[in-house]
Amino acid sequence: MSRATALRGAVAVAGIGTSGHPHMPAGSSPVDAMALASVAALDDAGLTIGDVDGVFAAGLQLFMPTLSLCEYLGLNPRYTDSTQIGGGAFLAHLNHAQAAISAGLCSVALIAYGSTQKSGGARFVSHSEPNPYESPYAYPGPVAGYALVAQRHMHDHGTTREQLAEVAVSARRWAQLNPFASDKSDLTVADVLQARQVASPLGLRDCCLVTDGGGAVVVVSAGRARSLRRKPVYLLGAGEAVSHRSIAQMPDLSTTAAVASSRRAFEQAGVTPGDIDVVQLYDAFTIMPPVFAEDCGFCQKGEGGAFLSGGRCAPGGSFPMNTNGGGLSFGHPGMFGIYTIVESVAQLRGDCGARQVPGAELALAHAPGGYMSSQSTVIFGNESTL
Amino acid sequence: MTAQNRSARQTYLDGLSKGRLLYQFDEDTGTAVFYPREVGPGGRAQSLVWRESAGRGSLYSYTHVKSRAGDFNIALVDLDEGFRMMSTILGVDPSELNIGMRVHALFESDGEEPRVAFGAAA
Repeated sequence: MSRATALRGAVAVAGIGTSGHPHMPAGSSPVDAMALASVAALDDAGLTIGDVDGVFAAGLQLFMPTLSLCEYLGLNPRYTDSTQIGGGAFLAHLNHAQAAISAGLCSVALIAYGSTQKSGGARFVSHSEPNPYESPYAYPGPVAGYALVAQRHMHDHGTTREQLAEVAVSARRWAQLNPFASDKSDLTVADVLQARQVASPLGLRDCCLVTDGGGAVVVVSAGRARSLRRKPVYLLGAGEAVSHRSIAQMPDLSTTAAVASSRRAFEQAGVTPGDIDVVQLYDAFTIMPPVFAEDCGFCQKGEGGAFLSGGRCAPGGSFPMNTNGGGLSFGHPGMFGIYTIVESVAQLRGDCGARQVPGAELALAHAPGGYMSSQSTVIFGNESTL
Repeated sequence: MTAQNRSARQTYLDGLSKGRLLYQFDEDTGTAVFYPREVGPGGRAQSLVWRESAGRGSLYSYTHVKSRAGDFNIALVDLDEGFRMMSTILGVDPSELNIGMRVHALFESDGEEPRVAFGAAA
């Protein structure tokens, strides 16, 4: 048995929390959003801030987010991890937390994020450094990077704008079942296609909502989780992969390192794509879920657009995906990855009300970072899957 | 350890200012390398040699961006020597941009620093 396989089910999510959605009161800081989510997650787990001895955080507005959070909450952890690999950093934190807890380096791991990207408005400044091989071209960042991916995927595989639009429409239909989603207005394929173009082939409705928000999860050993007040949701597998930083260095724009990260997660979990009941595939832009559906093995390369069409990923479809409404309709506070974990856990607890996937026992969350640069995949299961 | 008296970045910029698109070739791995750097992909600092690109290539992907400051495009260009760079395509109507089209380098030195753009090849 490999070491990674030995960790299958070794740790569990014991608490989840969110805050500040869709926006924090004016003048709030990203640490406010992160702290509110953190205490909500600890309260959910039946733990207090005094129990936390491991802190994991990443942010766009905070240069040293673990330090900011520890100072704010008066935490004195013996283990911290500020890994910043973009929006999926929190899934990587889960992988690191399972290692740290299993090695005895900490026992109660708090993973947290907070953003005031919306309420901060023009004062929102990312601390990402400029790249001198991009800046001469006024490269506008993520939307252009993912537009380049979309253009190439359409060229290589015949993916259509209508198929991408269906991703946005399905997300909206899930959002309409989630009382906490930011945008629950009706949306059609025609609306998406006719929206103002932002970066071809992507229009405004192909892009995530800009919101504030915080999210946090509490991770403990499986044994400790069974003594706490919520049903444990076990981490069965986690996988990471990194392929580049700048979109200009991505080897093949149609295929991502999610191939490797998902393979690692499935190997640890000992399950296959066909076993998964509910899926969160990070959707800052509509091109992302089709590519991840392919690269995580839910369909063949090039078939992602068709696979997610025809209502398959919408409520009632055979591939329930982005069940909170996703970054496209729930809200996207700069980094969405923490919400893919929160929603997976809520689904496996059976707490999702109108959007609950009946009988969900296995959940997969996948999130990239940067410009398809990092890829992180996690697989969760409830008690019956151990 | 040999003394480094000029950075790879500076060598590249000096080339651009003279209308030359320089790139590196890694003799260990036999691959073209871009962006300019001090250590080759094989993990050795001494393996990189400078070469000059003919400035011809094809469009790998592109996006036409609409912004308050005006419309422009971001392009990824595959140079014939085997490296890829971010750039922009000038003088081509957005509807005429297409993946695979042949392009050639244009050198611009009127900005804050010299840059390479591309135009449609005849």
